[in-house]
Amino acid sequence: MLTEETVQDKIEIVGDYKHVQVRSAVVIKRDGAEISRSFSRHVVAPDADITGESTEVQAICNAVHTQAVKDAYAAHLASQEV
Amino acid sequence: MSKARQLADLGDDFDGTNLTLSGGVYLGGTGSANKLDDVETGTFTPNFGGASGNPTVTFVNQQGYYRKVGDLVFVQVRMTLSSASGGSGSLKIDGLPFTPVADAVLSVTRLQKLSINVSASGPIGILAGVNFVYYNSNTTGIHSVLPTSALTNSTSINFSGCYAVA
Repeated sequence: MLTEETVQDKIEIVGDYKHVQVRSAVVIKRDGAEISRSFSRHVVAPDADITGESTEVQAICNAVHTQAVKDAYAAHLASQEV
Repeated sequence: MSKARQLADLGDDFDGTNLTLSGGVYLGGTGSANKLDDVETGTFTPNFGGASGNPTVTFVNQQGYYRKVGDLVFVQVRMTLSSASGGSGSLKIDGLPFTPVADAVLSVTRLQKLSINVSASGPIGILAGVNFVYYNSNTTGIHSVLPTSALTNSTSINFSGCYAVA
């Protein structure tokens, strides 16, 4: 029997502004044995709306995207002058 | 240590066809600069945004592909709109799969149907520490960032290139 599930199999916190990099994997299994795994990615910035994120990602963002980080990121964006 | 013993030490990592390493491989030397420890292919969802307010857009095509080799990511993006309205500020392209660690530029291979005349294609500008890019037009002899108002109901853009990540 073939089954398909989507899991977030890697969540990383990177850089000065604590961007949260999320890797989602679509895993195909035949009789319980994995036969395929494909990836898609997105990044959650400190100023992002996280209401659509998974509970786990929201928890991580709430922990690392402190007001100090958000302020620093806003200052970084402003410094880019675009 | 014999080569046979070295291969035997790989144990379950080598199944006769594929070699799986949780660490990395050193190529051409033993320094950290010779180490390759990550290769990954996947997709992402690019999107148009605005620095001061996001436009409302509907896509015909909205495709992003990436391949990461070590600390270098190659991306390909194809976006075509069927409608666009609103938004304010500089036009952004959101949704990069990884956050850049340094400023870079990507090549635009096709840009069509903007509301303003772009006499020559400029580069896509990648900025360190943000997960979006800006398109630099060349309408006045100097590169400047496009506004969100440049989008039309049929804007299309293709671009690709590499940037460094952590």
